[in-house]
Amino acid sequence: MAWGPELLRLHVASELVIALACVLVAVALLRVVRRRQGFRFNGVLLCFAACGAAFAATHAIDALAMWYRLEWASDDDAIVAAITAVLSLVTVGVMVGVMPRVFAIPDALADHRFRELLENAPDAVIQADTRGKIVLANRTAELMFGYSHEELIGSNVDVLVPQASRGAHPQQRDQFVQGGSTRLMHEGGIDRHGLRKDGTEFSVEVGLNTVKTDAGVYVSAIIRDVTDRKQLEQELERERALRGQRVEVLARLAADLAHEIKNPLAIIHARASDLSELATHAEVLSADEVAKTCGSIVKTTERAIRVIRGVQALAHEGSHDPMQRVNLRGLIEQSMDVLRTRFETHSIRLETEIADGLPLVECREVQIEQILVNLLTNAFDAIDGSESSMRWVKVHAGMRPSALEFGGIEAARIEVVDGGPGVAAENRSRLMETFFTTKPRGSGIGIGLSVSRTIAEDHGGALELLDSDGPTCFRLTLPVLAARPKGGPQ
Amino acid sequence: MRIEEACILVVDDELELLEIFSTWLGRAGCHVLTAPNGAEALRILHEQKVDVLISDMRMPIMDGATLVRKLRQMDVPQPKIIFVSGYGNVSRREIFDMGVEALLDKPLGRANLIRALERCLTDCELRWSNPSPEPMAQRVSLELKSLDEATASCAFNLGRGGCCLAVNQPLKEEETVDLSVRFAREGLHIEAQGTVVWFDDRQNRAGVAFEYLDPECREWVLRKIAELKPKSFVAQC
Repeated sequence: MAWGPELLRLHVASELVIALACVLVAVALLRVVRRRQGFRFNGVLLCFAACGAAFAATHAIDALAMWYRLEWASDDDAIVAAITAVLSLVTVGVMVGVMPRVFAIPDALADHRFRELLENAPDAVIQADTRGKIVLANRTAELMFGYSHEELIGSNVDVLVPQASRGAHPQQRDQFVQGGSTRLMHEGGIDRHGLRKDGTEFSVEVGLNTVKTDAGVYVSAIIRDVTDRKQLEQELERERALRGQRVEVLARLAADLAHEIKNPLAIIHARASDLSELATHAEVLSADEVAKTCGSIVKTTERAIRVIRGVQALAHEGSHDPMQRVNLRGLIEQSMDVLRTRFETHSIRLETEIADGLPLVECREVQIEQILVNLLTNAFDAIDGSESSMRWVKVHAGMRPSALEFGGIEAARIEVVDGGPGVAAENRSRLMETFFTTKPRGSGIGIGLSVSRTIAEDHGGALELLDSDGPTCFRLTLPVLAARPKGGPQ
Repeated sequence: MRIEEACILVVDDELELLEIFSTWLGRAGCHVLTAPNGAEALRILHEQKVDVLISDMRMPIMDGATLVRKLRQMDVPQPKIIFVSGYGNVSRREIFDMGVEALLDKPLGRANLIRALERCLTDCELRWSNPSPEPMAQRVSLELKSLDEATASCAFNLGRGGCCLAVNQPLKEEETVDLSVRFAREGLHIEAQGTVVWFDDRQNRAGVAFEYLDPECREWVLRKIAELKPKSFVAQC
């Protein structure tokens, strides 16, 4: 394109626009500097502003020189260009110096990601100063303790600690801060309770560590709600106790079983070998004799099978069996059969008094048998362990007499009464506790009654020790129609 | 004593077994008495002389072990005792220490019962005179300084029908053993065949009932038993 008036106009206009833009950039930077007095990079911004002004000046002079072909403008242009060059170099120098500090500024994106991570962590995170004032709390902490963010920040951490342990808390905190240590959750964090805003308590596990900053020492706490886990642990413990009870009962039964099985076997063996011996000696056997011997063998075999069946029933876990309608009389007899030898060999009378016309009771037969065997075993131990005992155990079964008790539900009850010395008053309240036992070391581990009660309650029934001065009486109440588990099939 | 001359008391709470045992013994020619429990047996023992007591261990009212303990305190001619049991609440070691001569397991055949009874009724001298032609399952050798010292340290303890001794090898109950025990001071060497009646692997002690004694030592052992009058059949240590 040849040099003409249009081109000149375009050139001059462009220079003017550039000059204007540079001025605006400089003004903008100055405004930033004026507004953000404490900003760490004001120096470099001022340099940029100066550069901008200088660029604006050079471009403006260029435009004027071109338009008016002013000689003076060309001279001044050189001076302004030199100033601009110097300012540019200074700016570059300042910028290079500032670079490391610029890189050190937290990346806003990373900061955001970190913030999200913290807020949505599955555990509550709380940071407090050495006096316990909360300076940071994530969303999980708010939800866990039921406070709003505003309520938490500035409060003392003690509000999150139940009254009972609040007294010792500041002292523990001081000790921890002075120790400057770390206590991670997975290396045995502190097992304690948290207090919600609504006053309810819940099990928590707390991991602590100290954070040293220019502004002082802070304590970070990671708090995990372990209510669910505790509940699972308890369920597991119960399951284990149930299994333990069966093992306990079975171990004692093993001894009885050996006797109970070997006696019928001895009879069968003797009868059969006798018969074969007589036959081989070609003795004439009367039909009566053979019939009597074989009849005895059959009868004795059936007896051995009954014993085995009883033990099998006890060895069975039973907690997932379907509810069945069961004849209580048969169930009681069966439970007593298992222990009859033990009672007989120790000369303890075992009696029953079962009301006529009892309805079938809906239950898990094996579990109820386990309760009865447990109660009978306890009665046995109580009698056998004391010189002053009367040597009898009675089992009563009947319907609950009054419709007013037990929520008006139709229920049957079985009572196991013994002539033992009775339960000491101080042990009465603890008797149903797991692992509480009054038996000598090694003979009971104290789970029988607590497990039995749990089973009874699972059936919608109850197991209680009657409060009386008379003989010890444990009463098992079972609704005729078992309670359905909530949400279960109807 | 011949089996036909013997008076046997059988004690068992299992009445059908009681009936079977007395039939067997009656067939062998014995005079048989029966009792359903220890207390009843004690009453009979008070009243008449019994040669052999065959008793169950677990019984109502009074069990076998209690019966034997009470019997030992009674001033009556002491019968020989055989225990028949499927299971006992007393250890084998205690049973033989009480003076019980044989422990038979249930189920029990007629031949075994009669054999054990005949053995019981045979004099020790005669009983220990016939070596078994079968090789023994184990061999136990002991070199001891003197009988007194061995008795004091429980390395060797003589009972009426066997001994308890220190062993350094595992043994099994009912296993047969060749026994060789030398006492340096007495210059005595006991050569015997026996049956292990109990073994304690923690204390390394075994109880062995003699089945045969070498003629060289038989007289000495019999004299020693007559002299010591041990209450136990196989001492407990």
